[in-house]
Amino acid sequence: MTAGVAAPPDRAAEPAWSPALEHQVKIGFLYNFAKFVEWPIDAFPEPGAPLTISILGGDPFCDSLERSLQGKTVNGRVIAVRRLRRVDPQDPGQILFIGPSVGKEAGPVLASLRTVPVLTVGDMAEFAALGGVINFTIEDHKVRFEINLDAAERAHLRVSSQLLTVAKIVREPSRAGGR
Amino acid sequence: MLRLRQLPFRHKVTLALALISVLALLLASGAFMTYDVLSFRARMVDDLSTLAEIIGNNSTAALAFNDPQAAALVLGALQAKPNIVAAYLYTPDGRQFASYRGDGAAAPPAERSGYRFEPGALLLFRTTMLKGDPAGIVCLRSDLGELRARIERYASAVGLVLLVCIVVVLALSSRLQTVLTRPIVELAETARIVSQNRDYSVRALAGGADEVGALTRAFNDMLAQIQERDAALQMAHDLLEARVDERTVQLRAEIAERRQAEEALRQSEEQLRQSQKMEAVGRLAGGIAHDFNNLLTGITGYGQLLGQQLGPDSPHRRYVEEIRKASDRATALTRQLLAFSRKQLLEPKTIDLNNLVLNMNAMLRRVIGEDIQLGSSLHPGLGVVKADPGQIEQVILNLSVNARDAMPQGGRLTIRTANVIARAGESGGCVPDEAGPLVLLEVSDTGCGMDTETRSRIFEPFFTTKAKGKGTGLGLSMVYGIVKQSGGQIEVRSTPGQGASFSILLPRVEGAVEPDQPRPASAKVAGGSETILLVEDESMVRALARDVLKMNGYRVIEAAHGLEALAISQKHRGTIHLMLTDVVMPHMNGRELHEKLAPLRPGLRVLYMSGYAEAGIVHDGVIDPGTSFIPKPFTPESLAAKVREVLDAAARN
Repeated sequence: MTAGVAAPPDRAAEPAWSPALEHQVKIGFLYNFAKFVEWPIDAFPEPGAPLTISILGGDPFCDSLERSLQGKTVNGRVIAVRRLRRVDPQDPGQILFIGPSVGKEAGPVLASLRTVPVLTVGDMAEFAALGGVINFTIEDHKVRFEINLDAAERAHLRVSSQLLTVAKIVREPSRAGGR
Repeated sequence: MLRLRQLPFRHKVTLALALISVLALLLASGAFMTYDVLSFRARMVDDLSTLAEIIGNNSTAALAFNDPQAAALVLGALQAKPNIVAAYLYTPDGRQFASYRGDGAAAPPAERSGYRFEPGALLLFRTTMLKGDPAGIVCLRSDLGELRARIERYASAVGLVLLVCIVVVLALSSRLQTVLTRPIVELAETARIVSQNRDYSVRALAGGADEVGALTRAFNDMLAQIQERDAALQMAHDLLEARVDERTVQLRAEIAERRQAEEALRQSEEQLRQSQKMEAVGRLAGGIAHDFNNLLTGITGYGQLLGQQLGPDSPHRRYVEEIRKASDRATALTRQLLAFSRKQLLEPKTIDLNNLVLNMNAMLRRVIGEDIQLGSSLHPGLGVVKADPGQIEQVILNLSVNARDAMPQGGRLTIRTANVIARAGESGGCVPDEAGPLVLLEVSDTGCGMDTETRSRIFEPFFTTKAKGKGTGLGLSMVYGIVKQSGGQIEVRSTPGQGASFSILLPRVEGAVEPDQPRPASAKVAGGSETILLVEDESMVRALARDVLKMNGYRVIEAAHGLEALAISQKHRGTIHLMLTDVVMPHMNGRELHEKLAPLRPGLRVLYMSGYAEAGIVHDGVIDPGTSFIPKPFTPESLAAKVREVLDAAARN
């Protein structure tokens, strides 16, 4: 970002960008999001319940999500992964990944989850505009993401300020337009 | 070290004060500095640790989402901390993630946590956690400029304080000397004066109540004790000297006393020897006189009888006269011998010596001649004495003649009388037998005097300094005998060329002066016819007495000794009117004879005859009262007169 920040030397030693690597990075990001976001207490069915990551639509990670996060915990909660054909607004899990294969169906899903305390993560253009909370982007061959703070607030999610330092913050145009 | 020992005490004190102060200050400031540096370093570590935590916490998202640029932004905030010279961010697996400054230097290998001080820098690692998992490692490098500056500030401050401290110590030590070292220096000075002058009266100024004060007082006490002992020693010494002097004086006195005593003993021995000699000579003279008297009685008596037988115109009458003269002289000599031997018969009376001297005046002037002045100093109210006046006249006459002979060129003769009181043991050679009132009769001349040798022998019979034929050598001997026999003392004082003085002391008696009895006129002696028992062991005297008595008409019965007289008395039938007896006879003396005869023949009168005074009828030369006595040698007339007197007295009674 600034000239003062020199590229780490071992950065050059990194393997070249590949779709597999991109998936792996995104899986890590999904896991790390859980560390920077706080859910309201009623987002879990019971106090000791696991943190569930739901995947809607086709799985871009080809089951590597389960493998990568197997046995990992966040705040003492076990990470659970499940696949959904259809989203139940009563039980959407804590993180809902809406893959690119969902396409136009993402809009109504997001609309049904407007006030549900679930962190929605998408990987498509206009996802934030549709009311999703976080959306992966690629910048300079690097995986980055944007955060729709309005959506996060509607879902009663508290997003760490630290997370904001590395994200692109977006606002909903309608609200910005004073609708 | 040696030089340090030789330093004066006050410099030592100053040095010690400075050393202690500097050392204490160094220790204190060193400890303080060490503590401060350590705590400052701990604080530095704490501060750096906090900073690393902040940095780490702010970098968790950058790390989690692999955003080195965001991390670099976070690290860039360290620009506000100029002491941070470099900062590095690592991923949990140790890969370098971002860096700040570093100036191209290689990043140190990652460590999980901890810190270490490197030369000029502090390096600190800290692992940042995110929800229980390590998110990354922060490394900070801080320089130590502040610490160094702090130490430098401390060092200069300590140096300044040290400087001030030394100045203050030097300033104080001069004040402290008054309190601390001066008493010691003064004490040392006092000790030096004492040991140098040996003057223990010096005293050190007493200090305070501290140890130096106590030392000073102890020193003063010690000096006082030494002084006391010195004084005691001196006193003992003086006392000893005084005792030695005293003892010396005593010893001298004792020696002088002993010498005096020895001298007195010698003198008294000499006197004893002298008196013994005089006694022996006197006894000898007395014996001779006794025999001579018997012989002279015969010579005188028969000479007188022979003279009576011769007619007035007989040519033989001249021979008889010569015999008489010679026998008279012999009789006089014998009397003098008797006088000396104190065997002379005395007729003592109470007399006044002044009268006696006055009556002798005319006679004395004739005796001493015209060239010699006669003076007398007679004490009025002179005490009376008991003495034979004729004998005392003899004494005065003999002394006057002696004085005359000592003054051939003329001079002065003085007779002095006085009352004196003598005490026992007084006046050297002239010691009265008893203390009491005495009468002094002194005859002095201005003649040639005499030496000690002469003086000691002056009273010996036949001792004379006069030319041969001029003196008999019996004059002073007679004087001596008469005085002694009269119970008096005689003393002579003389110095050659300055005259001589004879002092006679006679006991003073009470009583009136007896008048001189008029001597009966020398008439023709009457005879008698009474029977007389004549007892005489000396045949010549017995024969003379018998002849004289018979010539005067008496009946005479003779006996040669007492026993014979007793026997004759028994045989004789007639009356014996008188016993004429010698006193000294063998077997029985006259007195014993009379005692035996008196009871047998009551009314028997006795008349003793003797050459000298003897025990039995005479005591101290005086005839017992009521006893009749005729001295030998007697003349026919005196015997006849005495016999008649005794018979007549018996007839009167």
